[in-house]
Amino acid sequence: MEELGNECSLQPIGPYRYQCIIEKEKIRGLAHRLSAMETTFLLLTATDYPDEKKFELTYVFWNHASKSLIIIKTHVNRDSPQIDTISDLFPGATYSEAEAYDLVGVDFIGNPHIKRGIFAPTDVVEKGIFPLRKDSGV
Amino acid sequence: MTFVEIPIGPQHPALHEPILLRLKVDGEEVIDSEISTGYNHRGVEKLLEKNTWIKSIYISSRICGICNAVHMQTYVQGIERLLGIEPPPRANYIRTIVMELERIHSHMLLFAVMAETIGFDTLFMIVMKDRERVMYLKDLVTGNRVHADIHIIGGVKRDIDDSKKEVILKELAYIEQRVKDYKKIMHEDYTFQKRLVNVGYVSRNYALKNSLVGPPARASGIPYDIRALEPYAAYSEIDFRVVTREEGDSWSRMMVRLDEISESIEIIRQALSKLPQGSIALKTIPRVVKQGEYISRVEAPRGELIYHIVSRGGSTPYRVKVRTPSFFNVLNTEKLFIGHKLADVPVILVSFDPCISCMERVLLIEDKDKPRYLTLKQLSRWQPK
Amino acid sequence: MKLSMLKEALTNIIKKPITKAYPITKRDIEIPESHRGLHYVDFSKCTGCSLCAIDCPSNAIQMTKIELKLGTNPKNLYPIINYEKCVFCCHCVYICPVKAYITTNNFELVESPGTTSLSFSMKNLQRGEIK
Repeated sequence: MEELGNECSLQPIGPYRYQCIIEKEKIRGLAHRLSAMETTFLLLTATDYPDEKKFELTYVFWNHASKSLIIIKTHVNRDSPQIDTISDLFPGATYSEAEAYDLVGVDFIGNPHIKRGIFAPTDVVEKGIFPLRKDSGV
Repeated sequence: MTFVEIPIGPQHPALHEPILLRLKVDGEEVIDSEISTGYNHRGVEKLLEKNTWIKSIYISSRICGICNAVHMQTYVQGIERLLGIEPPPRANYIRTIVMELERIHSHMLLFAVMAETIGFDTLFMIVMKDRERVMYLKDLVTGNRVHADIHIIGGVKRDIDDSKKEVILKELAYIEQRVKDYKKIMHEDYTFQKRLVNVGYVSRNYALKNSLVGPPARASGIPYDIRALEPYAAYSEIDFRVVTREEGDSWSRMMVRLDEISESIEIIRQALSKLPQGSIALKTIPRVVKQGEYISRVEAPRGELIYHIVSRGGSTPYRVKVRTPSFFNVLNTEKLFIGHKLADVPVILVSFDPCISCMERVLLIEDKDKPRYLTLKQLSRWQPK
Repeated sequence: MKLSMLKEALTNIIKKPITKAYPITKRDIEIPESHRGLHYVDFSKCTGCSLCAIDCPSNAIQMTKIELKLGTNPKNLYPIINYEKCVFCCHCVYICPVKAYITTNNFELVESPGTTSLSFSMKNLQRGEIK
């Protein structure tokens, strides 16, 4: 766990669970360190907070060596929702990022699978709706 | 280079659920593959946000037919952690028994489907006949063959009495004997050896990088089992072995599942003998959950199931993200077909236990019109607006 | 195992087919007593608290005004289950504070569209009055 010290400070939030909140620019560097540590990508949630004008992205990783869950939170602006992809470091994250783009509309720069219509039906895509945004009206 | 593009699906005799595989083949050999999804969207995540906590636990169990009790456990467990309550120990044991019964029948179903996929229909019939006994047990314990619906926030709805206990133990002894026979078939039978051994090899590194979970990960030598790593329900008090194998091919994935059936039978026996006395549920059901979020993890038959529940107070969830095991096990292995014969593609896909309706869950457009009744003829001509 | 499979396959060739023309010839399928089948309300117990209708995940329960004047139900509001919508989770049975629901393991629910629990509840009430 100490190797992550410079990038972020992990706060224990439960047994074998650590959380930290970082700026979105740091996600690549952090993913680099994590991928060197026998870590598996588990989950990416994009949550819409329209009042605070932001999307919250929650990355969850499992570290096999220390048997602990690493939760990393970052925020992107709602007007320009863009963040660097981690799918080249964690191939497992490719479709999770694609899902987050398709349903919430966060753009992952550099992910080759980013396109509309992987999960959402075509009629929603034609209208340009991101269905899991709170103001989508779905 | 010349190649032919072959679409398999969305509706295809070799696949049991709608998914589209686009395969580029050179002769018999697959040189590129791509998975298209989106045929099974039901909008569950949005639906969960729009319903109250109590209604949404029943919606969550309807995400998947086979692993419904596990979905419910994950969601209810998340809500309980957010509320800071703990169900009574007897409820935890009953939950464990129901989930293990589910694991047994899920693995038996997959074994039957695999037998059918490789053309061994006699075995398919025999396994499905045996599986019916497990379904009867589930009916006996929970009240329905498929949908358990036994969880409630802070406990379970039904108790197990002594007469039910006896029936469960009797039937499990029979199933245990049959599973031994299945393992023998896997080892000896010519068809299984030819069709499964060295087909769809997954290395340990590939499984780690692509986040494979459940039996596919364990068949590649990763002892990744949430029951042991982060015990929920009554697993912390039960002694069991995490089944792993080193081979990493389709055959070992099936063998891991068969070994897990034996382990599950052992877990149910232990749980029944240790079943503590006491109440099965808390007196009141909370209806409002305070602010917070929790990542709830449970080992479903197909692998790790995660619910990320975000609450901002009030009577409805703010956001529920469902990450099902098939999402990784199916989508992240799309390039695994490359280099195999076309006839091996269904075998590899089935060996990952695809559950498409689990995988796709998300999307619903509210129909503002009143509900309409259509005849079958109208329905066949019906087109979306 | 191969021999036992062969035995099973051969005995099944001689046997009569296990499938039956179901509605005409009834098979005695073993259904546990605890199976969640058709359920309806005992109107003589119901207090009209509407808890089941609020919690029903599929909105299958409608609180309807029926002038029965039994005394236990001041508002004369009684729950009626629409079986077409019902998902048989039996949350209503569990949540009911006066345990007014009567459960059966009857799974044969195919009837005309719009079948509700009203007729079952009324029949039950009449039976009770005769006693």
